[in-house]
Order: sequence, then C-alpha cells, then structure tokens
Amino acid sequence: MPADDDGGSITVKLDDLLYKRRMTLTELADRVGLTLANLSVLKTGKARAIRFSTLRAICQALQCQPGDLLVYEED
Amino acid sequence: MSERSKDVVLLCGTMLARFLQWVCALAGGVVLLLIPIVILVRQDMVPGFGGPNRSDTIAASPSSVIAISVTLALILAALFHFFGKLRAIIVSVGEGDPFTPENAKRLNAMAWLFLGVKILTLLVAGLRLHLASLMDKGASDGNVLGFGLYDLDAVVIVIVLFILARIFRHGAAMREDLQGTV
Repeated sequence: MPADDDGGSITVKLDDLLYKRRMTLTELADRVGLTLANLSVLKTGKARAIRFSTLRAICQALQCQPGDLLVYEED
Repeated sequence: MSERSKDVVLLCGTMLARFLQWVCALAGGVVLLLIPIVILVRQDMVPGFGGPNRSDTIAASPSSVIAISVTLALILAALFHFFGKLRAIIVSVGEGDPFTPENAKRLNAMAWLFLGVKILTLLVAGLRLHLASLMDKGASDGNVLGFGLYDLDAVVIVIVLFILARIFRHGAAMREDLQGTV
C-alpha cells in the first residue's frame, strides 16, 4: 500500500500468511472469489484501498485477523 | 461500447465541433488575408481601391483596421482550440472514459480560452467604436461599451467551465482510487 504523506506506510503481509498456510495465490483467489490480478495488486502493495468484504473473505480463507494481514510501519 | 459510439448526441456534437473548427480556420484565413490587403490599399498599390476610391474605413484609421483583423484572428484561433478541446472531450465520452485528468485540463483550458475570447471581443468593440467615431463623429457620440445580459452569460459560462474542470479533476482522482481498490 502506498506510503502516507507523513512517512508511515501500511504493509500487506499476504506473502507471509500464504507461506504459513502453505497456500498459493491462485488457491486463495479461488477461495475468496477475487481475480488473481487483484490479489497480486494487493500482495505487491500496489493497492490504494481494500474493501471490508475483501478483507473479511481473506481473513476467513486464511484463518487470520485483519491485523495479521495489514501492518503499519514507520519509515 | 457500441451503444455509446452510436449515441446520436455525441455524434452530432463531434460533427458540430469539427464543423465549427473548420469555420474558424476558414474565417481566420480570410481575416489574416485582410491584413496585407489593408496595407496594400493604404499604400495605393491595389488598382481601383487606391487614391480617391480608397475605402473610407481603411482611410480613417488603417492601424485600427489592422488591429481589428489581428484581434479577430486571435479570437478565431482561440475558438478553434476551444472547439478542438470540446471535440476531444466528446470523443473521450464516446470511448467511455471521460473522467480523466486530461479532460479536467481541457475544461480548464476551455474556460481560459473563452475568457480570452470575451476580453478580445471587448477589444474589437472598442476598436470598432474608435473607427466609427473617426468616420462619423456625430453618429457615434451616443455609443458606449455596454455590459448587458450577453456579457453576464459569458461570465457564467466561464465560471461553469472552471467548476466543471474541478469536478472532472475530482472525478478522475476518485476513479483512480477506485481502480486501486481490491
């Protein structure tokens, strides 16, 4: 996710979660009903926003909390 | 997409804008052609128009006639660009992608162009009054540069164009956000 003006940024930890769950991005895309392209945008940190419905679906599929997926980091 | 491209209003708008661009280009060419003619007539170099047959308007103030011609050419050039930008916006609507930063810039430019046209039109009116006063002092004494409803319309159009430019800029930013939403 792009960095904010004040320097901090939100990092998407989708790669780590997928590794822990031994799941591929394609499998996750099938489970949450999103396109692979959209999930790639999220994984690579290029997304500008995330819908609650997407967040809920990913958390459901990966059995995690939103805080496990999104982390705020100071620059 | 095919439904959009068959939109009669958009098609008519594109054709009208293109036609008006042609009219402006043609009229601009004619006006620019007038400048050397005025200079030649002034120097009695055109047979039949010089000497005692010289046009009263050119004889009264050749520099004013040239200034009017140049200003008219500038007005027509501004209108040519105005309709060009309008056509580009209509085409982008037809393609289904009107909320872009480019269209916001186009609308902003259209507002400035229209404002320029109105200011130049006032300049032409002033020059015409000056010419009229030189040619027939008595008849032009009562003429003044008025600020009627027509001018108010122009001010409203300029303001609306500036507002539309901001709406499009905001719309383009919202669209960009939406495209980055997963």
